[in-house]
Amino acid sequence: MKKNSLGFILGLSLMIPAASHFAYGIILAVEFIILFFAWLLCKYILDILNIDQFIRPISYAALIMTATWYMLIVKILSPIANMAIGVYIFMPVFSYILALSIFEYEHDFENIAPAVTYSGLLLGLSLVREVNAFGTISLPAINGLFYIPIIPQNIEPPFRFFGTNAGAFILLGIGMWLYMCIQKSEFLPLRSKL
Amino acid sequence: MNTKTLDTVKKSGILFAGFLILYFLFWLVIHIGLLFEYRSFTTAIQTTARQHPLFSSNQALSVIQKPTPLYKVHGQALQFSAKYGNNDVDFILVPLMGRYGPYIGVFAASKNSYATFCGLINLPKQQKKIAYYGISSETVTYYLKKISSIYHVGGA
Repeated sequence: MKKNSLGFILGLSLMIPAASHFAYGIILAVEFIILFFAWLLCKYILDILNIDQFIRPISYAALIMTATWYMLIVKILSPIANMAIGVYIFMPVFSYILALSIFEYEHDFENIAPAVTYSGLLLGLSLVREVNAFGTISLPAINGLFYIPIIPQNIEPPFRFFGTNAGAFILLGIGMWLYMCIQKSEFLPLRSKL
Repeated sequence: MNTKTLDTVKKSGILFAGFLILYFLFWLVIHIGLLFEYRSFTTAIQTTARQHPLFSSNQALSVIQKPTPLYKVHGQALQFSAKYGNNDVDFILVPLMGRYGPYIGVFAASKNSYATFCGLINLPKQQKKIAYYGISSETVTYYLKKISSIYHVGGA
């Protein structure tokens, strides 16, 4: 698999509709890490049992089962959050980012950086979106979400647009540009040459 | 049966048994999860409905915990039967996707009456109009019409 930092960042778009609250970001980021380690555990068990056939279908079955388990745990701990983002919990199983993270781990000295970076980006994006949109930070709770006000609730946050789905794509674009600038250690033009 | 075949059968058996155990645990957790889920939803419905003028009087509002899915409205919609005073009323939870992400709307309906939108659950203490949370009035009207049509036809 080719190293593809652009594809890595674009993979975040899968989560954009869901990661609108920090609480949802936490749920999805934790899930991603759990799925990553579930794959490694599954591979370890298959190695112990010396099974070298149908590794991919068995691993994907284990990942789907892990995601279902995770959904059930979220359902118990925060049922309302689960109803809101339940559909999105299964998406990371088939995410390119997960496959890339596993590939990097297996071929680059047990490198867990892509998995951790992706979870961090997810948390960061959801935090920025919620603070911009509502001026609060939410945490998952049994009776819905627990809100911590950051901006007084009678004041409307000034950059509410960045909390919308469209705003999140723009933030992602800016983030991608910053990432490329840092990676190449130069100030890249905002407009590509035609 | 040679040793290699026996070994393969043994390994497959262990793997299959592992999946089977997980499946039974899974079934158990689903049922425990449902109890928590319904309790949480009934509390949320009562809190939201009480803020609507229709249900703000002192009459008792009791929600029956076990819901039924209402696929005609939405793939994830849940219908809760309730009693408000002496009247039967149904509360329908519908996930609504807005500009600021997903929310859950509470709709109230009863036989041969039009549906009412009670509000969104899971909001901060200082609540604002639904447009503030990115849910358009068109989205709400769409579900109101859908729920009303079901209750008028009697297909719920």
